[in-house]
Amino acid sequence: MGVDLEPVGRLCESHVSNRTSLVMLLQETQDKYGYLPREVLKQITREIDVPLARLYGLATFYRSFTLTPRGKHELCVCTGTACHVRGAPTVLQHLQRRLGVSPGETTEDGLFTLVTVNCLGACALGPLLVVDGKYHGKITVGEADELLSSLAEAAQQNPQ
Amino acid sequence: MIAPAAKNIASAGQLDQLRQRLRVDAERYKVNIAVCGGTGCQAYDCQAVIDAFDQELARRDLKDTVRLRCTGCHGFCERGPLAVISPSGLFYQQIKTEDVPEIVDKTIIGGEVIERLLYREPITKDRIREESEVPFYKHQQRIVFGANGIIEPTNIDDYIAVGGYQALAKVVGALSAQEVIDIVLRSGLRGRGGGGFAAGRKWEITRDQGGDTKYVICNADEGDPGAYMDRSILEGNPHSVLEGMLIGAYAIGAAEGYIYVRAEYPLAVRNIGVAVAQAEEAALLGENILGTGFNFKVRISRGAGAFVCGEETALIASVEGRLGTPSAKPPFPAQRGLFGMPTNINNVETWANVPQIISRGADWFAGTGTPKSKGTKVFSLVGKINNTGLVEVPMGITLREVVFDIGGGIPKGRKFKAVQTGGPSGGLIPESMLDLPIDFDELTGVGAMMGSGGMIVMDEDTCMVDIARYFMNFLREESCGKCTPCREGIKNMLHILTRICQGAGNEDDIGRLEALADGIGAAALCALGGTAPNPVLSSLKYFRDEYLAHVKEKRCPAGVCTALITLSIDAAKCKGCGRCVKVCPTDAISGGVKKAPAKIDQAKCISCRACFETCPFDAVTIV
Amino acid sequence: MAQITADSINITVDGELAEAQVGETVLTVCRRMGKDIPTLCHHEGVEPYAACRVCLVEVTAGARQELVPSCQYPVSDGLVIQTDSQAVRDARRVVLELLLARCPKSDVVVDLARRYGVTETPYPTDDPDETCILCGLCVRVCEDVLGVGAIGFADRGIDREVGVPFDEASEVCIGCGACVAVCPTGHVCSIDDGLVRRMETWKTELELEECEVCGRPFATVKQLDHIRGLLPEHVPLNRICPVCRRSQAVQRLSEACSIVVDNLGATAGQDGIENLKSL
Ligand SMILES: Cc1cc2nc3c(=O)[nH]c(=O)nc-3n(C[C@H](O)[C@H](O)[C@H](O)COP(=O)(O)O)c2cc1C
Ligand code: SF4
Ligand code: SF4
Ligand code: FES
Ligand code: FES
Repeated sequence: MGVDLEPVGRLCESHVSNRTSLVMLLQETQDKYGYLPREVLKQITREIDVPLARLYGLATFYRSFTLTPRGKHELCVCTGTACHVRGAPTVLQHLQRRLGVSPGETTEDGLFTLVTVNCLGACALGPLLVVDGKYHGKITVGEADELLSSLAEAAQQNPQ
Repeated sequence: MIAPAAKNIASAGQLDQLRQRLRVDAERYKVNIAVCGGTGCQAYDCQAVIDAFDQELARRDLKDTVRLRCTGCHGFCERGPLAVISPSGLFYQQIKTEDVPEIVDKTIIGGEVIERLLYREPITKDRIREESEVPFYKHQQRIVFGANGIIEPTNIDDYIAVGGYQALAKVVGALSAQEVIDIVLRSGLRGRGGGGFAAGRKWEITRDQGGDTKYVICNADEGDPGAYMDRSILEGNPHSVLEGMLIGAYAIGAAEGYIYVRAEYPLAVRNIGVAVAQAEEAALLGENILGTGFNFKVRISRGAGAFVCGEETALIASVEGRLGTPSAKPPFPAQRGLFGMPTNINNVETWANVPQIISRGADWFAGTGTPKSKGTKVFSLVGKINNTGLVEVPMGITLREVVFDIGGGIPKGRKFKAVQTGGPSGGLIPESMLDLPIDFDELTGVGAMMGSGGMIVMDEDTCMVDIARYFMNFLREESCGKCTPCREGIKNMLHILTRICQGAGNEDDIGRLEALADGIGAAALCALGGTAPNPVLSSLKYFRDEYLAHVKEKRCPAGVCTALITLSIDAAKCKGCGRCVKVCPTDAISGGVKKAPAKIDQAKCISCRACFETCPFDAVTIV
Repeated sequence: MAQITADSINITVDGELAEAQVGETVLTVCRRMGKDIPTLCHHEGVEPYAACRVCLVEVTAGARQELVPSCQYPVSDGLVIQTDSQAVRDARRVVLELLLARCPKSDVVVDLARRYGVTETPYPTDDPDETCILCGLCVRVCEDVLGVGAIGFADRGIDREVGVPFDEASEVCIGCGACVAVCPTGHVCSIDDGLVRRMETWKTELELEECEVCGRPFATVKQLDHIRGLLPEHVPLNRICPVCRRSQAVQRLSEACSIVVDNLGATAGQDGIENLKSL
């Protein structure tokens, strides 16, 4: 697996010189790679004196970290209370069924990652579906379906 | 964006001069347009509206006389995108980009009002011209949020122009640390993060610890699902929080502070970052602040997705780069906190109140509220409510006023059932208690909690067992897993509740839930576990019938629990639009055309409710 | 017995007045008084963690009563403690029911639960072979005491576990067995097999070194290297097993004795020397 370890040195250097925390180092690493590749974590333990078990513990404790690459599109269903009472579970279950994945998982074709979040602070728009960072408020199962279909179609036409 | 004029302010006098100059500068503008740029409105694509204004003003060469601002959240997220046009204070809502040229033409140049864009009172159908006259705002009292709709959060000049950093100047120039603490004590300010501990008292305890190194922390983790007031303050008025922290740091003797902000709030992270940078440029953060020898700097720490990190000891662990697991208190952070040093942690809203208290005085602040809860509280009023949004109300106002007068009641003529306050640590409050005044102790007294300020309204279509299950599921995912009762106990409570929702529960389950709730509440290490049983206990207390209907009659009275409901389509109401046919994941619906009303094949139906949520004519019924 | 010093304070335990030192934990004082307080996540050599919650006692501070973990809670003047109140017993019972459901086969849990009248649990068991109670002692001794950090916690909440990162053999584990020694339930285990020590729980194998004297494999190479790294350079590290070290020590002691004896000889006279030698 070819993960470029080049940037790790710089990330670690800035962590040491700015006295940032390990959590921040992992955040910056994930910003760089999109996820936390195993080799990168191992490289970090070599650059700075910190046990791999610590990094692995942090990477699995905090939900914003992921050890596997994400899909091409991220579908994020808000499952905060406001969205819940406004029907988020119906939307989430529908997406789960249609994509055949549970929250946190990526479809086999690598196209979609389904995630949930507990409130994005846009409760007035609940239920809320965020597709690749764009908010879709007051979403219905039908609209979610349409969004999904158009993304899948676009991916088929342009398989890059 | 206009670059700030505030640079290297070396004394209180210079700050004052700058403020006066900014005021004079502002007079140059004949019209001010404030478009809400909060997260809620951004979701409605307010950025496009702002860009349209910008282009239109440029095109007509109006940029020297009309000032366009992208402000923080105005609160009325339900109606975004919003704009307030001053000096007349005209309030336009649900603005589309197509409306912009017309607004510039008619309103800004012509001075006319565009009726269509005004807010319309749903009951009287009256068009309302000014923001302050809209019922949603009328009953509010905005101390913390006052400046949110006026200033541009990414420009420190705006904050200074409305009197910002004057409280700091007063404190560092003329007051001793003890005097500052006395003012805060006398104001009666209590922590807005949930616990309601007296802020002045906490400062005093931290100040009285030995040692030279102390820290202050702003808790902006706001993990409570359905609450977003802290986000809006950080987004809309970040300098008020910084000024509060500066004043606190001065009183406590801290030279460094941290802001721990939730990662799911990208705009808040950005705006507070901009604010810190601009305050540094203005020398309001750093060394020798306002020439008084007081030093203070602030670092921002981004959360990484863990609700438990709102708990102060877990937050500290996270800032230090460790697992966010709480540790037992004592020692309290005030005694041994960040990097082992005395640390004072306050919530965003707590900090944001401080400059106001200093500027306007303790007595002014204490003049609002109840005997033991002073000032205002910001709530995020969400759920099954007409006017979703952020409301800032005086303590002591009743829940009924908030839900009905400000919130405008329940949509679609449904019946109110409960309001949930305090998030996963809070409780459900039934209709019979709506006249309860909002106050830390009153809410705790009925098994709910002020919490950080989430207020989720539920109607007759909300199942209370499902809500209890929802919170247990939330807490199961968010428990850190360190201590036995929380880790194992919540899992088992969820297990029982899921069984009940699936129709497989029995009456013993209720007793078992109560026993577990008591055990977890008493034995858990931190308040996450300690208060975790509240949603279950309060729903059992006020909505026991619903539990009994689930376990005895295998029925979900609210029609939510999928295993216990049957859906059918009322042929008389069905207009044959066919939407339900399209959404049904199992192709269980036939018909749905003009001539043949839709019909559900019960053998295929999985009770997912998709058709119920989709039908625009309420033709799908649930029993 | 505690020395009475300026830092002495008075507390009340189950109605009995007791002397305590500032900085002591409630557990220390109670155990000194012979009170029976169970613990699972506590170990004298490791910082308190207060996670298992079986050591809860009830304290009264002002009008408030609450359950606190005795293993971590510091004593303060005038503290009133009950080690066996109804509230304490109730809470311990719930905790033990939960632990029993988690680890139904762990003798330690089963025995402790029985002492509190819990012989069965109303809660379901996910994995009948689970024996880890997540007390975290193994992790804490490895990282905080030894400074190795081969193992850690992974995930959170009910999915929390202890283990090696990525569930693969550790590169840094020194195979010292401290985790085996502190684990209260026997979940952590290791087996020495010829010249290999298998840390079964951590999926890691280490090479053993033979004793310079008797030739028996006795410690892992990495463990000795680790100790070497901790010792000042001028102190030699003998690669000798504890058994041989003990007999060497005995020998050295008797050598030391004879030196003393020889030196004494000048003054004590021959009889005295014979007497000493026969000791
Ligand atoms: C599980 C848990 C989550 C919490 N989350 C928050 C939070 O998001 N924001 C907050 O200000 N306080 C939160 N708190 C309360 C903090 O621990 C702390 O009491 C508070 O920040 C103190 O500030 P205050 O005195 O100004 O309220 C949380 C507490 C617990 C137990
Ligand atoms: S109560 Fe829950 S969140 Fe708090 S320490 Fe225990 S397991 Fe962790
Ligand atoms: S393996 Fe043993 S020592 Fe480690 S956490 Fe589990 S029970 Fe505790
Ligand atoms: S609950 Fe979904 S945005 Fe708040
Ligand atoms: S021994 Fe005290 S909590 Fe485990």
